[in-house]
Amino acid sequence: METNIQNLLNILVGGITIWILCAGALLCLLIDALWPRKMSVPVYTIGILTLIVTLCSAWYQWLQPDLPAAQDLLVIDLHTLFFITLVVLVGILTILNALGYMQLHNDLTAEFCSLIIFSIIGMVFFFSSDHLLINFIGLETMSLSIYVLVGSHKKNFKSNEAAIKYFIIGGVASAIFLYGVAMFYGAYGTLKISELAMALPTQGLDYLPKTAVAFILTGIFFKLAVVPFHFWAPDVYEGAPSPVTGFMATGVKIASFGFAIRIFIGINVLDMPQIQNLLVVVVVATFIVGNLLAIVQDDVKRMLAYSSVSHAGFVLFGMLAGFREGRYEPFSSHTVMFYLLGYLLMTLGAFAILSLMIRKRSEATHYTDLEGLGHSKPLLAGLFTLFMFSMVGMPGTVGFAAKYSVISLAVQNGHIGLAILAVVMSIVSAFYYLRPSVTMFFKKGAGGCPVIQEIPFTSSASITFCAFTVIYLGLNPDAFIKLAKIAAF
Amino acid sequence: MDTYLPILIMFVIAGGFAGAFLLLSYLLGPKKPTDSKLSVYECGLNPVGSARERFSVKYYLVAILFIVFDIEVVFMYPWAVNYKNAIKDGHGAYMIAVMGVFFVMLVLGLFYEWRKGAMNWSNQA
Repeated sequence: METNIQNLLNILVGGITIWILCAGALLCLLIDALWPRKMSVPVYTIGILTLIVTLCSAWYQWLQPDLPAAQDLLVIDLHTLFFITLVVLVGILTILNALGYMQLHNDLTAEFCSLIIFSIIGMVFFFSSDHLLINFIGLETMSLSIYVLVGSHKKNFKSNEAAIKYFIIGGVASAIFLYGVAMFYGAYGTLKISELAMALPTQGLDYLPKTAVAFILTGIFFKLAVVPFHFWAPDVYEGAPSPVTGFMATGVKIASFGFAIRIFIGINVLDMPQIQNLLVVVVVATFIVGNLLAIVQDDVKRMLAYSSVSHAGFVLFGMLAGFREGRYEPFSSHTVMFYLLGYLLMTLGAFAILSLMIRKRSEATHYTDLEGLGHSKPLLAGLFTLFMFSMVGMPGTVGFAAKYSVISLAVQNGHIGLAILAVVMSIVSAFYYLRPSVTMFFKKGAGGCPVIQEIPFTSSASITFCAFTVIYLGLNPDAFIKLAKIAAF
Repeated sequence: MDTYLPILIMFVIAGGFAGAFLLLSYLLGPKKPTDSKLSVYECGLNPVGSARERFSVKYYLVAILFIVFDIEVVFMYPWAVNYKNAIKDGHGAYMIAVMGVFFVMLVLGLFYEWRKGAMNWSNQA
């Protein structure tokens, strides 16, 4: 009896972040069900409060000297807590963006908020579980919510098309992922990552686990949208409502990398030369294709879609950079984690501004829509330029610190060729990142109303937060890199 | 022999139910014979039109609602079977609590779809 109560307490205290998220999401749903269409603003407030409380409890757990005992299925370690912080931050900024976006579009639905939180619950399970089946359920919870969110513009053709496309391709990706999981079970008779780590031989994998690794990697690559699994990304990112696009570009990738670090670095499976070669090919292809295709886009959202492809390549490069002569150097995943933090801030800032662009009740994110924005809204255009500078990697912004930490680690560990390619591609990316700013400031609009007319308070809050942190982390990244180092694998 | 007695009783009850309902429908049901009702059943019915018709999307909703409760019951059967053992081991309260959480979430979902009008067959939402 004693142990039972202890067990229950462990579950309650250990998974406190998930309990809070679940309660918040259900509360949002219930309030909307009880008073339909009347309580949207309170629902959003509750959603944001839920996420803030989650953030605080994650920090509280972080500061505990001894973390709750590892459950069978849920591992609350510093890695988990760091990634919880990241995805919850994504959630807060997304809800703030969405509130402004929906007020502008006059289409405030309360389910949006609870779907975001449900998706975050899925993400938390995805990267924090020690059991591959729970990881898979987390992946599905995350994806199913996002399929709905992508199609949340019910009367917009592009949004519907994007939702169906993402649903079908995502379903195939999940199936392949599950197939890989099943192969692991077939090879070792267990699905627990910690047991797999012990069961795996130190070298010379059999064909079955090798295939399993390749299949699971394929599933993750789909979610990350790295080349050659990126074909859905531009269409889906363009069709989805802008705040959702921001959420997909950051939250899904962060969760997938959290899982990738836990499984692949946690069980040393990447020490296999074949798998490393595979990663090298994917990274090189992603750098080249992502950056070159971003140049020819005419739509800012499509451009940012390709930019997120190339950023995913960069983060993957960060994972690869931790290997010295084929062996993983322990605790070097901190570069990946810091990069993801910087990436989420600059991307969500850019999407917060994109969410405000509206003309005739629909999104207007074509390059021609930006013309003259630098004159009508100079501050906003300047901040957009700041986020773009950060994505290029200008010194003084977080993008520089993030890219610097990845490239310096790569050079230390002897990946000179890839590091040179990364730098060259960053220079190439300056062309398409600066094009919106050039359009904003140096092209006169063809007359007519400017694309941004009013700025809701919540949007300006999220834009301010992102801009401030982009500069602050750019100027002194050390504290946060140290934080990431503590949590690194 | 004793162990098979429940099975015998189950057969009797099942047969009784089936028989009773057949008999009741024979006695109480309205009888309006038509040509197609009286014709011999062989290899299905004559097609009335194309099979590729558009169905109301509401069927989809009903199917989803059905699946939710279907799976709930599938989950509850093994739970109920194991519950006896759990009491013996002193896990009773724990198992009740876990199932309670699951059940509350499910009921909340039911409440949500009810309030949202998912069970209204007519068009008003």
